[in-house]
Amino acid sequence: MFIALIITSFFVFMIINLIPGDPAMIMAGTNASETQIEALRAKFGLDRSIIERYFIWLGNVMRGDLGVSFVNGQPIVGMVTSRIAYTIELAVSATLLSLVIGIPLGIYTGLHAKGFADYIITGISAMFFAIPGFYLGILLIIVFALFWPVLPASGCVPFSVDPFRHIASLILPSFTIALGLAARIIRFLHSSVQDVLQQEHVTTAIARGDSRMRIVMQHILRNSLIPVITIVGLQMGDLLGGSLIIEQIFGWPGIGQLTIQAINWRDYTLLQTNVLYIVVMFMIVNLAVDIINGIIDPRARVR
Amino acid sequence: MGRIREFFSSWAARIGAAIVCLIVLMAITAPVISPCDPLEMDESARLVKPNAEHIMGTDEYGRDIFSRIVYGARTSIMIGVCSVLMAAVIGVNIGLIAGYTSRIFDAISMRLMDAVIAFPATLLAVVIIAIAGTGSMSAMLAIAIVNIPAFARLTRSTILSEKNKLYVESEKAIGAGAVRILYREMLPNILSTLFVQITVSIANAILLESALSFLGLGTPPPAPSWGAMLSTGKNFILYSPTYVVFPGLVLTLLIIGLYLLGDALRDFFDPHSKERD
Repeated sequence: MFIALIITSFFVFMIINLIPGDPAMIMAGTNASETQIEALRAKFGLDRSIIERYFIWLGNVMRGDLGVSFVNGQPIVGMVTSRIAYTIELAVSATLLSLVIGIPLGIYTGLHAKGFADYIITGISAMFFAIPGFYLGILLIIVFALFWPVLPASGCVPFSVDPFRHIASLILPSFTIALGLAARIIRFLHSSVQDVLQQEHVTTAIARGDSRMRIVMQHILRNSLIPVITIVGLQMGDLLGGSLIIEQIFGWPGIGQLTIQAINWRDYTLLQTNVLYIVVMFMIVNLAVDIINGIIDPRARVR
Repeated sequence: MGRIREFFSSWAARIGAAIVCLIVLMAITAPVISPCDPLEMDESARLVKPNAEHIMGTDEYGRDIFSRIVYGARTSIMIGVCSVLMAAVIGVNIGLIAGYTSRIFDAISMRLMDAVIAFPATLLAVVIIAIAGTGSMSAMLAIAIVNIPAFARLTRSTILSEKNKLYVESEKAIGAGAVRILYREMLPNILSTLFVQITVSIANAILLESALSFLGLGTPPPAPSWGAMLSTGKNFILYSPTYVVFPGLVLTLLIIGLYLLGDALRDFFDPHSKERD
């Protein structure tokens, strides 16, 4: 894990430094003289070799010093931490919502396969599976903010200012992400519940006269949950990195929006911090998924 | 012929193929079926609601939305198909070599693929575009790079399970070289799984292309592109909600069609998976 982190950080640093455009020249403006640009380069250490700069950066990151933004000179730590809170909030609420919608419906359709309700639910979820997130977001804005104006179309009121309006602004982006994710959960649970139903321990439990509730909770849920955790985990890793597009549509001030800004401003330091953060989150969540799967199913434990 | 009829016996295959064929046909015949020039502006007819002359209305410059959607299909399909083919050619070759030849190449290339996968797809594409500059070509390149690992891993895992089979042994015994064994004997065996992967990848590539255009990093204006139409249309949502509804609708239809086709192909080539559904 540690070695992977070092390799990834090197990778991220190199890639970001491949972006054309000299930040010193951008900062100095068009009228700056060569000496002014040189001075700026020296100030930010841009005159050193790329390998040297990488190790300086890595050393600083280890000490918790992420440097200052090339564009406005603010410390990166402050810019990023406030954004991360928003991104985590959206990721967690969307994931919980998708589990609340997806797990009951997935298990129900799995148990009642080929029934009327199964066709309706599977049909609707197939639609949400295919519909692109950004289109769904816009449709939800049209329905719930324009035709039936109950929710704000975009933006975010800080929780400390007005908790109710804050939660209202969280609803549409959360649902946009959750509906697509729930559709994936339903799709996988549908087939994995049917798989589990065929297995002998379920037949034995039914023959033993176990209650329906017990069979579902003890045998079916536990065994069919592993693929779901994997999908949700992967998605969560993506979301914690900030959904670039959903945050853009809803004006949600998370890390994804900041990343797009960093690219438009050519803010190297900010961009490499963001990208590193996103990749690290992705790796941590993947590790967590392996551990949780190991707890639920000892057979899946990493050897 | 029997095989083709068998394939089209499933509803998923019929509906999927119908949708995809319709949209591809629309893209090919764009100059014939579109009523207006997609770039022609009309100051007097801005943000017009759907009517007899403009069946889907007009955009903020008075350009006919239906014509722009029809031409936008060309952009989406072109970029989607080209980038996936690029990814497939590179990925399959990496997979073939990694699975069959040296262990060192295998280890290095697979760690590289892991590194690519460690990035969320949209983020990686955005960063690549930041390096290569915005434009259709760099969008295509970015989408291709994002898709390479799927093909490399798929090919490698199939090669690993096939390489100890008898037909490979016998080819070796008659003195066939690695190139012949890989491309003439083993490659045909993975074509079916590759087909399924290509279909699904094209759907994802088209999605990614519109996402990039939505962020202003894909096809540059004024060329028509569904993603860009969605993002500008969003600004005029109050005056003309239909502006944004139609391009998204066609995009969603195409994605549904490709997914259905992918599902149908998978069931067709691997009947085992059908029993489980």
